[in-house]
Amino acid sequence: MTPLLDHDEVQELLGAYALDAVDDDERRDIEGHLESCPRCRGELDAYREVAAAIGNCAPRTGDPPGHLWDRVASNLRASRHGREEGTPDAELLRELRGKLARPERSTPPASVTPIHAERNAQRRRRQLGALAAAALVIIAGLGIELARLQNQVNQAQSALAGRGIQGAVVATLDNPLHRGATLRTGDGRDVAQVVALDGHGYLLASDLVTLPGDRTYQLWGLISGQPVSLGLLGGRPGTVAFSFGSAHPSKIMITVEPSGGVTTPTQAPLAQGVLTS
Amino acid sequence: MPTFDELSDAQLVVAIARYEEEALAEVYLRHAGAVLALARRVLGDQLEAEDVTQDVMLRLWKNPDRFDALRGSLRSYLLTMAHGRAVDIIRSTTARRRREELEARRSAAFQHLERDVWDLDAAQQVQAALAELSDAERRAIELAYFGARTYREVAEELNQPEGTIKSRIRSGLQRMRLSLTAGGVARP
Repeated sequence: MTPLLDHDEVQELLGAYALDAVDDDERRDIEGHLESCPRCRGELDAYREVAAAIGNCAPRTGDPPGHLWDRVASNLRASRHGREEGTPDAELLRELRGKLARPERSTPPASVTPIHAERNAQRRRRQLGALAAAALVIIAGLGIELARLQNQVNQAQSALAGRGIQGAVVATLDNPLHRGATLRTGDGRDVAQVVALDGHGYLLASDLVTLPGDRTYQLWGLISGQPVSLGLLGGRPGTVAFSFGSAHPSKIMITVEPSGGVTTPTQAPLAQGVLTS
Repeated sequence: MPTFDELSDAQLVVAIARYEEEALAEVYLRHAGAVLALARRVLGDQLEAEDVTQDVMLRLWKNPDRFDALRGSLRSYLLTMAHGRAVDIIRSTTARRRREELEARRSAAFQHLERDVWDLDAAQQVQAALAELSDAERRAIELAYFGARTYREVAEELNQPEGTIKSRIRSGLQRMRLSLTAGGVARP
């Protein structure tokens, strides 16, 4: 995608950008330009400092609360634990499965198959644990060029850095307006769950086999009847964030593609699911 | 070995990169009040503001290397993150419905900025810098920053061309910058 804004136009917008007062398209263009323009970065830093000085004067109501620090501190331990043990994804996945369970689906009660359930959970934990460290995070707009995919991954990582992907998934699940999908293969195996809200979505892969190095899973949204790439998932997806802007995908699909990804699917979907509220 | 409360902000960030929880606790003590206040000011809601504050602290914990001491102070960095996050929340579809309700609760603009502030001297200088702006510049900056509006929304609200609002915001910030630099609040 060619940036729509040239240097002068970006420069005119830097004040508004410093106040977080530009729309998403402009923000993307500005951020792209900033990477290669030290002059604009310098000007932006100056405006940001002024904005922060204004923000610094918002009225206080005493010291920051102790209970809030307790929350922060418990999350620190959780996030370190997560990095070392690699287990939180499994917990999250179970919660997600629970919330997305459809009434019409006949899921056997857990007590009937305790051994399988436990074994699956262990396997999943191992799988997800290995993936957690390298959790690939992808953000993708509509009609993006493949060359930009990696850049967008980086942007999404920044965007998610604040809360961690699991926090973001939980927050999405907690919002009653979220939509969800179970991605199922042709032979009826559930391989991933998706939750989405306000242009952002998260995929939690539970049962996707590791691909050889020259292949990647690719995520697609069916938008106005056309498959639109939502990003590359890599060969061993764990939990992945993606974005679809203001579009409303009716269906989410996964295909297996050459490792660089493709602009239109070359294969029938490996798994797919309808995104429902 | 110095205790954490003796370290500079930049040294604390280095300690955070080594997973020293106490360093983050010290950052929390120094800056979370300001972060929370800004988030509450934009969101008009204590609980959401606490969520934003938690996000900001965890983001620093997870990616301390994103803070670049050469580009601004830690306080500015944390406030910038908090503002961005608060604006995201306001702009989400669900929150938008609450905007009118928020407007009613939010006190009038810049008038109360000086109340209860931690750093009175800096706050007075910000007040003075704001006072040097034209009413139109001040109003545009205020609606954009505390009202979480895009410059387009500000233009619509004030019934002005978008280009005019864009340049008012920029010129307003430039003039405040000069004035704050002269007063030692912003770096030259």
